[in-house]
Amino acid sequence: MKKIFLINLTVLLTMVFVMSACKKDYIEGGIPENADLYKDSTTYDVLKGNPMYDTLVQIIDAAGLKDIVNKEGTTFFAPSDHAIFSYLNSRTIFVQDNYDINGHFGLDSLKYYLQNNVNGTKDSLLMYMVNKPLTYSVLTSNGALYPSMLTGDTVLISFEETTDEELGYTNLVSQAPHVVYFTQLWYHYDLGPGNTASDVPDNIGVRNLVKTSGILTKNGVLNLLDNSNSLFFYDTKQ
Amino acid sequence: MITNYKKNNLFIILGAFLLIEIFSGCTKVEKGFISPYQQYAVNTFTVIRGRIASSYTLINDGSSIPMHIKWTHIYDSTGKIVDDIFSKEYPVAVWTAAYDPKTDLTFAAISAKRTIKNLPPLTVNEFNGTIQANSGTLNIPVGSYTMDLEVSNDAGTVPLKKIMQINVIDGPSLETAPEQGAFAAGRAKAGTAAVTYFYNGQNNPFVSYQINRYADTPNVLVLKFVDRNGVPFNPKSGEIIKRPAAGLNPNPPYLQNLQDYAPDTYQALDTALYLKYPLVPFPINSLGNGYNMYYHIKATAVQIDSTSSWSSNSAGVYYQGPSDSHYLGTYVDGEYDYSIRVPMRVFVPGSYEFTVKILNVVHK
Repeated sequence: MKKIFLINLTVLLTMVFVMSACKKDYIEGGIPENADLYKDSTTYDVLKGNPMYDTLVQIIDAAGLKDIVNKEGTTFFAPSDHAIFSYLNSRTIFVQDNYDINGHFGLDSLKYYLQNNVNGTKDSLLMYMVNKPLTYSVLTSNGALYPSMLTGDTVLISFEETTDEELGYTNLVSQAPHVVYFTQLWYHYDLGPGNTASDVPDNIGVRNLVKTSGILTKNGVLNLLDNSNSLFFYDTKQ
Repeated sequence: MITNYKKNNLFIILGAFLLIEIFSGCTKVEKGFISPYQQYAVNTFTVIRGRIASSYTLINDGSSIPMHIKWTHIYDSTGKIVDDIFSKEYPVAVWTAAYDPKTDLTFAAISAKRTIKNLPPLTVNEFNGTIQANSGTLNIPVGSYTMDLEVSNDAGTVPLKKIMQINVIDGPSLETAPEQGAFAAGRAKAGTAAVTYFYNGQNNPFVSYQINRYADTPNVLVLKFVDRNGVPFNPKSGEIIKRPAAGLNPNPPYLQNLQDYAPDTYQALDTALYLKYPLVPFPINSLGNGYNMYYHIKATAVQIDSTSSWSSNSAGVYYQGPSDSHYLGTYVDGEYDYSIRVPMRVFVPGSYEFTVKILNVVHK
């Protein structure tokens, strides 16, 4: 009798074990980010701490714009070192094609332009700055127009759903990922139901994905642009 | 009881072994196998005279290895045995040590690992049957030949009659257009990089050339740029310059040129670019974008004809100078550099003079 009881118990336990093994919790993707990681550093210091932005820090210094980058309640869309390299490369090719086959437009040339604000180069850096803290709660899917700190310049900032699989979308997810886009408008653009941020044509403005968005710093919001465009969106104005 | 049982077992096992030994001893196992149906995957092998070439390997159809393969007879197209001309040995440069691309960067370093050996023009690899042609094939008359092989291994020897057809043909020993690309001729505002082409494609009407292989040794290449009257440009005095690659810190810093391919033997002479090369093909590998040499002739050395647009051309038609219907006059003195791209690759060792005649310029 005792033996039978033991066998029954074993069978029961095995079944429970097998069944419970089958039932798994849904996997939650990603690792929770620490939103307060940079709350004690200024925007400038956050950039300075990342080697991907060491050249950007140099040109902010050359332009003397550190204080503006660190201004309270602002948003900075930071172009990466890659963007600066492709700008210098394009300018070099222009110089070689038109002036001197051995010519270069290197970082020293850019710094000279910034220090002396040649052709408004220093001012142009202000196109990446908005005098408002653009946190996610302010951003909309259709986008909204903001004046950048560059006089007369308007940027369009949006927080859009994406169905791009390279940005994490699959048809298995219940909610599509959202990404921030920075759109530099070269010409006037009327936002409306059929004219959202994602509809901006190439001859009006240039869209740039924000690869890391919403970093809260001591003085505002920092967004990191991806490498798809040159600094100052060189050569995109039509 | 137990000991007895064990003993019985032992006897049974011993008996079994004995039986196996006896039976297996009765069947004789043949040593290896050799197939009479061996063949090449592709049974024609084309050799361009003077060039290195390798045939496919012999498919041994399950024959035991190691195999020993040698050729026995070679017949010409009439069926006559011509073993003699294929047995004669000629001097051929061969490796004596493994090439190391990291350290063997100079003519001297590569030459130190090479020696001259007397070899027949075609050799059959003893173990896999690959037929290898070397520069000695320059001495074989053009024609179609067939080869008999003899293959042996532990199982015996089989003859493979007329197993491979070998076509010995003539081909350019230094390839240029159209094999390696096309000549391009253009102009760039003096001292700048942006080139506007006069013509870029096959049958370039502005460029005629001559290749003269004037000796079998040493391995030397002389590239000469001359104007339409045959007056050479002077690389030594800087009339001919290599072209910087575009952009910031490009790698490599210059578009392909002879100096980059032969940094230690290149010389800019009064009338030509000169270099010694250690082995063929030369260049052995591309520094990017095929095998083209890019040069500019400085505006100070050249007077360039202005011509109406010439978009396509047929073979053998060349620009005739001021009498040509495309002639419009000459460009303002010193306004443009002349830009030229020369496709070239040497396949047969030897001494070459490659003269590129530019028909729409006059040396100043």
